[in-house]
Order: sequence, then structure tokens, then C-alpha cells
Amino acid sequence: MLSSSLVTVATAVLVTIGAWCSVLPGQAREARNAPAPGSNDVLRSVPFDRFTLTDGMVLMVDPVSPRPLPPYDPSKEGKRKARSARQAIPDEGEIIVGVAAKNKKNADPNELAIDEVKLHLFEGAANEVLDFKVKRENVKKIEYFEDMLLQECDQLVATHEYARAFECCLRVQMRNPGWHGLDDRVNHVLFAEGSQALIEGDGERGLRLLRELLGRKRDYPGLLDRISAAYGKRIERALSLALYPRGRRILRELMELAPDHVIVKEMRALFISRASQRVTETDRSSGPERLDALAEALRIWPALDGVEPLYTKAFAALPTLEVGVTDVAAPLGPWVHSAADARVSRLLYRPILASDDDEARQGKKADQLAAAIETSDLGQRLVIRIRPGFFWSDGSRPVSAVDVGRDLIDRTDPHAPGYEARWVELLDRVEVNDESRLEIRLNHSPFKAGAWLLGPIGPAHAGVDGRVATSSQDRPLVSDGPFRCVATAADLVELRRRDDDHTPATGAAAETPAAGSTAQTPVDGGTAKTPVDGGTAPRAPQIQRVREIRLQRGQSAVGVLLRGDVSLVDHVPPDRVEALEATEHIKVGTYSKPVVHVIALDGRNPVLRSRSLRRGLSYAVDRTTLLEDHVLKHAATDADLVADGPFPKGCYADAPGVKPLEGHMWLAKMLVAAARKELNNAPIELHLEYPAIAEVQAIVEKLAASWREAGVAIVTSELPPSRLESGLRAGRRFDLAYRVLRCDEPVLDAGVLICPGYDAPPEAEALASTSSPRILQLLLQLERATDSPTARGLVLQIDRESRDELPVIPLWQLVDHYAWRDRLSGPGKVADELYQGIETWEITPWVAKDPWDAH
Amino acid sequence: LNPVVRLTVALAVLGAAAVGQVRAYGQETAKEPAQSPPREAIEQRPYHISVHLSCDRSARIDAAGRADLLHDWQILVRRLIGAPWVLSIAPASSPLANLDPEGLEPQAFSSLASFDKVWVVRIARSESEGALAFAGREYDTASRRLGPLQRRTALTMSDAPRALLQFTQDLFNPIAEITGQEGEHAILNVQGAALLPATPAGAVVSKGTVFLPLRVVSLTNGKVQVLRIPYTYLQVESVEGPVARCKIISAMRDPFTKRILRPNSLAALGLKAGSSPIQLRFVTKPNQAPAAGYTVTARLVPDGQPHTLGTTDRSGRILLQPGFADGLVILRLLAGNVEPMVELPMMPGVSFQEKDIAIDPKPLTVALEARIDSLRDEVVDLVALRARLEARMKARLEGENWTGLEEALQEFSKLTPRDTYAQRLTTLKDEASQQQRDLKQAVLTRTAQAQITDLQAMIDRYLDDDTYKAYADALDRANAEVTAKTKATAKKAGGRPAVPKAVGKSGPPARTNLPPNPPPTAPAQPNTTPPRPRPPAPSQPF
Repeated sequence: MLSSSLVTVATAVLVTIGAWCSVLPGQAREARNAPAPGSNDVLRSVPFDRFTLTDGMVLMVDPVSPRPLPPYDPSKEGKRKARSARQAIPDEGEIIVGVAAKNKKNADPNELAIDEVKLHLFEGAANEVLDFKVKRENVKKIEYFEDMLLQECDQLVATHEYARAFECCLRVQMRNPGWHGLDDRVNHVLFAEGSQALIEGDGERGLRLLRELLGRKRDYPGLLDRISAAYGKRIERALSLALYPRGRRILRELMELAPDHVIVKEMRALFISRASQRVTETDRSSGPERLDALAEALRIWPALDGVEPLYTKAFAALPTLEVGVTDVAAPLGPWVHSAADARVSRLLYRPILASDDDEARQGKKADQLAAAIETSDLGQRLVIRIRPGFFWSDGSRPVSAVDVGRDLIDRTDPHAPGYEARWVELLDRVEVNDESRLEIRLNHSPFKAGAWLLGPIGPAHAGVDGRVATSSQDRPLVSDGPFRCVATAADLVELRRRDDDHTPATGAAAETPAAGSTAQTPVDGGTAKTPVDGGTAPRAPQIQRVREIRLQRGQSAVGVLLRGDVSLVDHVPPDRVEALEATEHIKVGTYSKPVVHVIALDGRNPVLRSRSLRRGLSYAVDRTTLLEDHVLKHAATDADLVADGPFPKGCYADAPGVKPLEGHMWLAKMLVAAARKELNNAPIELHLEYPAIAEVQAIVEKLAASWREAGVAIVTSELPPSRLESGLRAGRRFDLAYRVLRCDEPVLDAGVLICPGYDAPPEAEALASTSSPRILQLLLQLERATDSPTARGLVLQIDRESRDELPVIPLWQLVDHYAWRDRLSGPGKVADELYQGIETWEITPWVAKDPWDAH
Repeated sequence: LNPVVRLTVALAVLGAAAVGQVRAYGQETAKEPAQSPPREAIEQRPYHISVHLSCDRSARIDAAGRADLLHDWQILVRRLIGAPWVLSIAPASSPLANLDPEGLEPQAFSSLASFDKVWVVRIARSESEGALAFAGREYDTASRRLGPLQRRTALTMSDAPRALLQFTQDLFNPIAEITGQEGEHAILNVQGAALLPATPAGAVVSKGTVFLPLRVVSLTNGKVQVLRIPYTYLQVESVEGPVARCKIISAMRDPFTKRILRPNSLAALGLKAGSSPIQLRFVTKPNQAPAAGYTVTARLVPDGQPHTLGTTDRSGRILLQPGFADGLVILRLLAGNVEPMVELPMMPGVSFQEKDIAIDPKPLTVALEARIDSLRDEVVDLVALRARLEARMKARLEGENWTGLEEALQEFSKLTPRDTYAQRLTTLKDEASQQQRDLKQAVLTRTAQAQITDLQAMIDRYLDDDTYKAYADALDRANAEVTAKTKATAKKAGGRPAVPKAVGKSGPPARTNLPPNPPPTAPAQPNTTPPRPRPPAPSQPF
């Protein structure tokens, strides 16, 4: 066996050049870790070449050089040898005086002839010769390492292992970027992986890979078809989801990639046909349906011929304001359970008093039901005269004292949606003297009695939900405000200005446009023009219709505003305000009252009665870091800052000298451990509910993580803001609830700020949800306060003691913003509520054009 | 009067009252017990019980089923109760049987004076569980009082006799004479207690049985008035023969006062937890304003753990659902977090008509306690912070990390010193005392004083500076040691003055900012320098 091997080698090897130095150290290390040459895992193997000799012997050798070896033709080798045998005598001669003659016998034995190749075997026994020179004529086949990698790449592509296939290509590229066939393999891998990603539904990645291939080789067979088909699917999907701008953007991209492809034409036609279909549908409709259809047609394809004038005309007939809101009021009725209710109720219902001041009591404010209020018996007897001329939206009858009396009594019914526990304690009786006069007797003289008359008043002839059955299926909401509700759904509220409402506009807003309002230029063909030069041109149309559209999950308020889907958004996340203010055609306004973010605690859960646990939860929150890094994304300011209590800085209820709440995780852990000890070492598990508001979504998991680190198991769940807040106010049980609160009048709002179910029916036992008995007692004392100094003193005491009692965990206070497109004129830079002065707002028709079309 | 004479008078009065009832329900067909002229002693006397059992239609028990049930139940009574109960079953047509037990009035039982007890039991089908539901009440003819509403369920008909036995045991309440008082204890002579029951379960009185004391007053017109002694209960501590020794549990100072004008005697009626909700209303003195937002807790007598029952609503009311405890409890109304306003003994599920319970709201005390709580929170936080720093100082000392120790000491010195808290606590106390003197009303209540004492103890125990001083001294000694070594080295080298240019790797840095925390009265350190400073003993964990 041994002799046979030796003979074989002897026939192949001409000269032994001795043992080469051993392999390089690094190579040795690599060789130790890497699979042996010839194994299946070429990708991780040490580089090697495979030589097959003419006698069939296969040699694994170190990669030869040069790579690839120059071409060798045995037939031409004879002539070359003959030429080399007749070596020409150099011009200077072979003998030169003074120069030693070259001794051919001393020539370098390592020198290779042109028909030789030097091989270094990969494996061999100790002291075995590993280096050989091999005649090219004895080499039957050479398999280079690069070729083996590319071959492996093909196999990996066939098995959909694209990452490893790319690694093979990458390795070839690192060894020899110009290796023959590398580019083709890369293209192949890109195409195969891109195609597979598209099949698997990962369109973004698939298209990215195919686009890369397009950049490398535009004429790759089938590439344009594949890309176009994929883009076509994406466009169809966007269309089905009504994401028209996105669909058009994709189409635009496709047009840039393959402008003449048939799918481009098909998709374009699809857009136009969809838009045209909407326009066709408008032939059968009128009014708001027609306007909505035309607007949608233009939203689908803004450049649709001849539609813009139709839209402008329809818009002029029914100027519509589309508002993107965090949440819509659900259910809608004559009550205020959430911020959404508060926003809409002023449009739908008129209160008894527009505000709690003397002017309103004397009936000097137009938009209120009371013509005058007389107070006697130390404020315990109120006589209200009702102003004539207001009618219910169903046209049945005018608003009268009966409606007011019924509503005030309904608020004492625990089963009515408008139940208010404080009002029950306060009200003695209501006597309706006649259609225009009623008398209210109170049990005691409250501080700010007028504040109880600011809420919406529902019709007496309707159910407790404020609706009147007109047919077996139809129960419209009946209201007496300047607008009426025409549609409500889970994500939409549509209001229409009442034709029969002739209330004069109130205040200075009617006469002078609000600060920050700008002139608008309507689209061409519009009949409504804004005066530019102060001339007598007709004014832009006032708003006749309001559509509140709830932003879907993942939809950003800023995004829909920028796209032009809506003209007004009720809330701008604080980290987007700066960028939005700098955006052309967008204006940002500020609510006059900041919002305070707090975590409400339910004291009905005995765990949360533990003072140690509440302190632990508070200490676990590093407010400054969370606020600056995740909510604001810039340093805190005088307006956006960490809170130290339930009341915002700057209001009279904010007690001075209260130490800021700090974050100490180690102290939090200690306190939570102490609380667990109080609870017999039972694990503490709490459920945190939070509203679907952008900045809350950004922070809530960080909060939960902090509490988990402190030793409290937290489960989070997201709810629509209105549903969360109305549920809490109804007194339902919870553990922890993230609340975003606005405080208008601290004395009146303190209870609801601290105890969400403060006005809930007694069955809910919501008062017990105040986790600090001391604060609850102070709140109840405050409720009975009759004079301003006492009330203010108590509210200050509540703020001061809340720092240590922690009935809620304060987080931070933020200035709240809203924003609008400049097609809408009227909203002020600062407002108490979103629709403040809507009577004077004007809006021009406008179509959101694609930027490439605009240019 | 001699107690024996008084007892005789009381029994005679009770007997006369029972006999003097007007017969209103002539339809009673149950056999009345024979009137034996010489009545035996009370402890020898069994309870003659008239049972009025009705079955609601929903129970689906016909006459035969009722008869079977009563038969089986009577067998169980004989086997387990025995002599103390002498039962008489009224027919199903008894007018009493068809009355709603919840709405019963004592007048309805006026015709049944010959019995000691009358039980009205109604069986219906429980809607929620589909089980047989027993509901009923006991009427005690001697005291003319209705017992609490009792409920029990039986899942199947075969369980009904046993459930009925348990139910009637719940219904049954013994009656006794209060024969004497020894300090905080009352001595009761219980009817039927001398009769030997069939099993221990049939004993009429046992340890833990609760009695409601009654005062039987003879009026001028010859009638007898049975008055309940408010907020007072007797709980049996031991039983010796027919005599039960009971602990008096009362919210009154002298519940068995003898300052009564009319001739009177004391009796007691057993009481068990019932199934009726209790509504209480608290008002504040002197304006009778509702005591809203107060926490009500309960603890079982004698040594149960308090637990929260709820919070008074805006009108000062709280509704206590039955079942929050299975025995006598002490209800406590808390203001703020801890201050007790009033303590009342109460039997759960036993409804009664009480007036508004007036309390002194003690607003100053409550405010004081809130401030003490806040101060205690600060102290607790400081204790934790100091413990953390002490652990750090110990580690650095052991590792001879002098720079780190110096930093930790400086950090420690920046903490609020102990004296500040002590001063704040003293100020709180002084202000409260001043208010107490000025307003002439209690501010420093027992609870507030206990809180102050606890907090003072905490400050004294956990905020001492000994540990800090020890570490500071250790650092000083280490500094001195290094300086001495440097001098010695310099002297050895050439007699030049040793002025180290830089502190060595292991040498401590010069202390630039000595903490002001140690008081000037710190004890002098011994002159002998130990070879290596040792860490002081760790503070006791809080």
C-alpha cells in the first residue's frame, strides 16, 4: 500500500523541494476551528483547491496562485519547449569581461517552469513531504475554492438558504472580487430571495432586493415583471385599505422603475376608474353624500379631470370640517363623562349658564338657556328664568323649564347616565313653576353654585339617553345646540349645523377673527373667496358640518393632518409640536389649560391601600428621565415639567414649597418588599389600563418596566380614551389607570381628579376607591365648603398632603396642543376648548395634491 | 335588694309578661305544653319550642315530603340535642308559617306565650344554585324579641334534614338571667343548661356563646318593659354547670348601671350572627353633619385581626353586608389613616334600629397625624439611605479604598441631620399641645401620642451618628498612619523633612471637607492607634 502510494507520487512529482515552512500561525488556528477541507461545509472551511490528477488521484491543496492558473494547452507545449531549448544568445553575449559567468547549475530549484504548478498538500503525516511540483499535463481537473463556493451558493439558493448563499458570494468577493461568475450568482441570489420574500408576504424586503438587482442588472430576465407585479399588489392593497396617497406613492415609484410596463398602466387605470366610479355615484346623490363622494374621488386620484370644480361647488354648499380626534364620544348624550363628551357637548347642547360669572347669571351671554338667575336664602334658593327661542332639534317644541327641571332631577337618578353624586347631596328639590320659570332648592349653599349649571341639558320628552324614538329602529339624538348629531359610530361622529338655529354669535370672536387665523386661497373654480385686499369679495364659507374621525391605531395625528385627510386635529403629541410648527400650511394652537398625567389608584383593592406600596410605585418612576427622553424628547421647560401633585403648576391650588417627587429604584424595591411583607408575602400583581394616546403609548411600557423592576407584576391593556375615562367615572373597579386630566376649576374638579368615580352612583362604592382616607376626608370637606377662603385653603391642603399620601401618582404636566391646516381659518393660537369660536370659523375647499404633481 | 329576691322578681315579671300576651291567632293547633304549677328552676327547664315550617311552591315539597323532612329532623334532634329542646310542630296551615320571615313583627306571636320559643321557617328553592334554601327567625316569648334572620341551603333533598338541624341550631338562642357582675364579667344562669344534652353539640351554652343583655323594667301601670342595653354584649368565657361566666363587651362605661328609678332586673338572650345587612350612620358633633369618608374596620372579639369593611358615604352611612364575620366583632370608625373615632361591639347580620352615632371628628388630631405620617415617611427614607451608605462605607473601608470612603462620608454628611427631624417632631408636638391648651379639646390623643413616641423612638434608634463617627475616625487614623509612615521613610532616607508630594496608591487623601454631622460632644478617642481600622458594627436593620 505504502509502496503503491509512493510510486503514484513519484510519477506525478518531478522534484522535491523539501519541506516548506509550516503553515502560517493564523492559518493553523483557522484550520483547527474550521471544518476540514473537502467537507460539506465549504462556507466555513479553510480555503483549498481540489486537484484531480490524470491517474484519478484527488489532492486537497492550499489555494494555488495565480488564480485562476493561466490556461494550459498541451498541444502547444511542445513548440514552447522547442523554443526554450533554442534559447537565443543575449545581445551582450554570454561572456562579459569582469562579470562572472552564470552557473546554470546554481539556478533556484524552487523556480517553476511554465508547465508546472506548485502544490502544498493540506494533510500529511509528520516529516512527510507536503510540497510538490506537478506538471500541468498531469493535472486532469482543477476545482478552485471560489468555484466551490459559488457551487455551494447555487445549492443554498435551491434550498432557500439565502443568507448563507449571500455569505458564499461575499466570501468569493472578499477573496477575488473579479472572479468569473460571481456577479451572476449575486444577481441570482437577489432575484431568488426577493421573489421568495414577495411570495412569503414580506413585500418591503422583497422589493428592496429586487430594486437592488434592478440597479445591478436592469435586463435581468423576468425582473421587471416580478417587480411590477409586486408593486401592483401593494397598490391594490393600499386601495383596498383606502390608503390612497400611499397607493399613489407606490405607483409613482413603480413608474420610475418601469415607466412603460403594462402594470403601471393598469394601476393608473385602476385609480382613475375607482375615482370615476365615485364621481358617477354622485349623480344619484346630493348634499353631504355627494360632497363626500367627490372628496373621496379626489382623494383617490387628485388629478381626475373635471372633478375639482364639482367638488368645490359641493363644498361651497356644505362647508365641512373634518377633524382627526384621539377618540369620539361614545355614547353621545347630554352628559360629560370624558374629554370627547366635553368637546362635542357644547356644539350639541346649550347649558343653563354659559359660564359661572355674573354676566351669565344676568343673562347677558347669548348662548345659554337662562335669561336670568336670582339667588336667595343665602344661596340655597335659585330661581331660573328660561330664555325663549331655543328649539329642540326634532322641531317638536321649544326648550322650556320642564326640560331643565327634568334634567336636574335625572342627575339624581343612580340609573341615569348623567348621575352626579355631589348633585344628589346638594339638591333638595326642583319646582317647575311654568314653562319659563323654575326654582331650585339646595340643601346647603355651595361654593360656586353656578358651576352645577354649566352642563348640557337634555330634552324632557326623550329617554335618559337623550334620544327620541321616531321609528322602530331610529332613535336620533335630540339636542338644542347650534349643531345636531346626524351620525354616530365607533369611530365617527358627524354633526350638522341646524338650519333653524338663529342664535346670534357671541363675544368678540364673531366680530374679529381669532389670532393666528390666516387668509386662504381656495382652489380654482371655487365660489367662496377670501378677501385678499380687504375688498368686498365674498367670505370663505362658514362651517356647516363637522366630522370627527377617530384616528385608528397606528395612525398618527400629524400624519393625517400632513396628508390632508383632516383639517384639524384635537391633539398633537408633545414631541411633534416643534416639527409641526415649522411645517408649511400647518398651524399649531395651545389649550389654555395644561394637562396633568397621573396614575389613578383604586383603593378598593386592599393592596393599593398600602402606603408603602404607593410610595414604592412612586419612587420607582424616574419622572425626569421618562419625560425628557420619551415624552418630550427634549429638556423639560417651565410649561412641560414633572408634576408634584394632582394640580398643575401655576393654578391657585398648587401648594408652594412642596418637595418634588423623586425616583429611587432601590428605595422603591425596599418599599415594595415592605408592602409585600404587610400582605403576607403574597405576590403583588396589578393591572394598568391606559388610553390610546400617542405619548402615553410611548411611555406606558417604560412605566410598567420600572414597576416590574421594583417587584410589582404589571399587566397593561390599552383602551380608547373615552371608554376608559367614562368607565372610571362610572365607578368601575380597576387597579391602576393612566389618566390625562385637564383641571378647569380645582375646587370643583379636585374630587374627580383624585378619585375617578367621585360622582358615581353609591352602588359602585367609588368613594372607597380613594386610596388615602385622609385625602378622601379632605375632599368631602371641600365639597361642603361654602366660601372661597375655606375652599381654597382645603384645596391647597389636599395638594400639599397628596405629595405624601399619594392618592394618585403624579407624573408630569404638559401643555396640550391642537393643529390645523391653513385652509381652515378661525382657530386661535390659544383656546379653552377645541371648537372655541367655531361659529366664525371659515374653511375653503382644498384637495391634497401629490408633491410630484404639485411640482 | 337581695340578688335572689331580685331574680325571683325578674322571673315572675317575665312569666307574667309571657302569660299576659293577647291571643291573636286562635288557629294555633299545636299542642301547648302542660302548665305545671310548680315550675322547676330555670336551669332545669327545657325550651318549649313551637315550629312553624312552610314550604314555598318553588321548593317542590309536598305535604308528605314536609312530613318526612320533619320526621327525619326530629330524629336528628333527639339523637343530637336531646332534652333541652321540647318540640311542637305546627301544621302547615299555621298562619305564622305563611308569613315572610324577614318582615315578621313581634305582635304576630302574641298568641304563643305558652312556648319559650317560636320558630318560623320557610323553605324555598334558591334561584341561583337550585338548592333548597331555609330562611327563618326565632321569637323569644319571654323577652318578646325576634332573633336575627338566618339562612342556610341544602344542595339535595336528602341533605335537607341535616341542613334543617344545623339551621335550627343557628336559630336557637338560649335565654338566661344575669345573676351577678364581677368586674368586667357577668354571671349568667342559663335556662336548660343543667339538662344533659344528647351530645355536646346539643349544649345550650358553650364557650364563645354571645348574649344580648336586657333590662326588664316594671312600669307603674303594672306592665313590663324589656329594654335592650345598647352597644353591649356578653361573651361566654367559661361554663360551670348551668352558670356561664361572661365577659362584658360594651361601648358604655357602666352598662349595668343601678341608677334606674323603676324596679328592674337583668336578663340575657343569646345571639348569633344573622343574614341581614346592617346600616349604620355616623354624624359629627356638634352640628350633626354626616361623617363622610371615614373608614370602618372590624375585628373579631376577643383577639381577631382588624380588617377594613368600607368607607362611609357622603351621608355618613355604611351598609354592612352579612357574612363579614361569623361572631361578635368590634367595629371601629377611623378618621384619616389611624385615629379611632368610636368603637362599637356588633353582631354581624343582626339588624337593629339605632340612632345616628355621633362622633367627635377631631380635625386637629387627624391633621396632626397626617403630618406625623409624612415625617415618618421621610425618616424611613433617610434610614434606608443611611443604611445603604453605611454598607458602602464598610465595603470601602475593608477594601482600603480611602478615596471612596471619603466620598461616601461626604455624601453621608449631606443628608439631613438627625436633629432636624427631632426638632420637627418636637415642634409638631408643641404645636399640638398649644392647640390643646388654647382650644380646650383633645388633640394629642392616645393614638397621636403613640405615633409621636414611635417616631421619636425611630429617630433615636436609627438616626444615631455613631456609625458615621466611627468611619470618620477610621479614616482619620488611616490618614495619620500614612503620614507617620511617610515621615519615617523620609527620615530614614536623609533626614530631610518628609513632605510627601503625592499620596501613595493606598494612602488616603487629605480630608478637605469634614462633615458637620458629628455633635461636638463626641467622646474622645483613645490614644493608642490600632494596627488597622476595623469597620464598626453594622446598624440594626430597620
